[in-house]
Amino acid sequence: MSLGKEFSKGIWKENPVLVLLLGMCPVLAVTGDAYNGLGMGIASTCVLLGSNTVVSSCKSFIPKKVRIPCYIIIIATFVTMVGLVLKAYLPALDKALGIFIPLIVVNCIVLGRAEAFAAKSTIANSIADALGMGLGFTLALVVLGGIREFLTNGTLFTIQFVPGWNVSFLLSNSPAGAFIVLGLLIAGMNWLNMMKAKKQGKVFEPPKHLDCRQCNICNMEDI
Amino acid sequence: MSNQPKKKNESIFILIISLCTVAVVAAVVLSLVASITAGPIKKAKIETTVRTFAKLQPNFDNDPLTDKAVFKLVSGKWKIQKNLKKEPLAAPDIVKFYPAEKDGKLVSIFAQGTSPEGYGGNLTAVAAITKDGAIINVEVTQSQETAGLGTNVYSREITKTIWGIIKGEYKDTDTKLNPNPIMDFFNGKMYVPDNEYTAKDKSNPDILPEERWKVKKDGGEFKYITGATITSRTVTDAVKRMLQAYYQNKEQILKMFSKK
Repeated sequence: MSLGKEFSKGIWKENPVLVLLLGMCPVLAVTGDAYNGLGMGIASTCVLLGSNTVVSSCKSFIPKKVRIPCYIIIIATFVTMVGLVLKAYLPALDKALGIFIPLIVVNCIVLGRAEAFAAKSTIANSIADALGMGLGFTLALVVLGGIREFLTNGTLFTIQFVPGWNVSFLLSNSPAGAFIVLGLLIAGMNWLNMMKAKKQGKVFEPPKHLDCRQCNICNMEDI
Repeated sequence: MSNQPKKKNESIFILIISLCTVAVVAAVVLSLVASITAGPIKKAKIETTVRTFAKLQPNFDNDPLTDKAVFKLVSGKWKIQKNLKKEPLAAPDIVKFYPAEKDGKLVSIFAQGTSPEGYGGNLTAVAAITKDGAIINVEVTQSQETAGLGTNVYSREITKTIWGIIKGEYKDTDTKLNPNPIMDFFNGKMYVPDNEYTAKDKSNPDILPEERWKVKKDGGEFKYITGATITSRTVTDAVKRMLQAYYQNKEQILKMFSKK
């Protein structure tokens, strides 16, 4: 696959949130508004970029049996580094993102991409994959956060677009509301894919190679 | 067959070595980054504090952080702490004062106080106070209250509308304090201990004895939000701690800050 394809697959075809369904914990927990979604997305993209690059360049040195602990150390190092650098040089951004940074360690998108992609691919492909997956993650979080924020307060990025419209719909602000909105988003995305397939005279099937089996973390037989 | 156990041993050895190598490299890289960023992090924290001070009371031209007076609560009395080797940034039994000077003259005092009674733990507030001990402005700087519920008590964020942005209404909202009825109610208030509350003080509604430094629900003077009573109580307590420490050590603080 070309670099462009590796990059663009994360945005729609293999979107980490809407298709791979990875990292549900931060997706549901921090998308109370669009700002938080954007912050979490950008911070995760930075860590994903660093960890994918390092994992892909070290893949021949790391023995298969201890690869997961090694990846976790690499990811945790990058998370701490991103946190320190933000605190030191971008305090304004740190104030907005600070609480999300430690959460990235437990974001399984980062570990999932290290294991499922970077450990088997070239450095350039891994970087393209990290950028694409990061962008797809950020977009999904901003859309989800935006919808929830608009339903809760009638605002977007804390800016009110309909003057004087004072709604207070608390369900969408709760994690349960996040689950409902995410379900509707995934349904909408599948519906779009189905319409597209129908136009071409085909039947849409969810990509089979993207289900749980594409991630080998729990597949301990071959080691 | 005889080769297999040997190979296995070797691989365990390699496993240990490689995992240790990764851990050591990670530790070295992290300690390097930590030592490089230690200075800038400290600087950024100081800048944030000075920016908060300027929001509370912009009329000063010194660096308030160079002089400070730190007080510790020892059995009900605030005692000055000198030559502190390792001073905590903010702790419930610590109140700090910083001078605000204009053209070399002391104009007002910045105070930082922490209350331990918050819903999520410690809550730290900063205030500008006059030399007499009356609040000019208060803002909460560190807290762990519930976002969207407890934070409503002290949040000074305003809802921006798209028309307001086009009209340019929000130009100085980042450098000025936006109104918040609960926080603004503190402005002008003064503290006296219960036993020194005289009839003369009673005629001035801004001078409150210690027993009135509570939220209305507890029989005090201050506003609160239903559903966030604990946070409202905590903010009142943090402000009371600052004024209490100032009242008990007023002369000493003024002497320290006007010595230069």
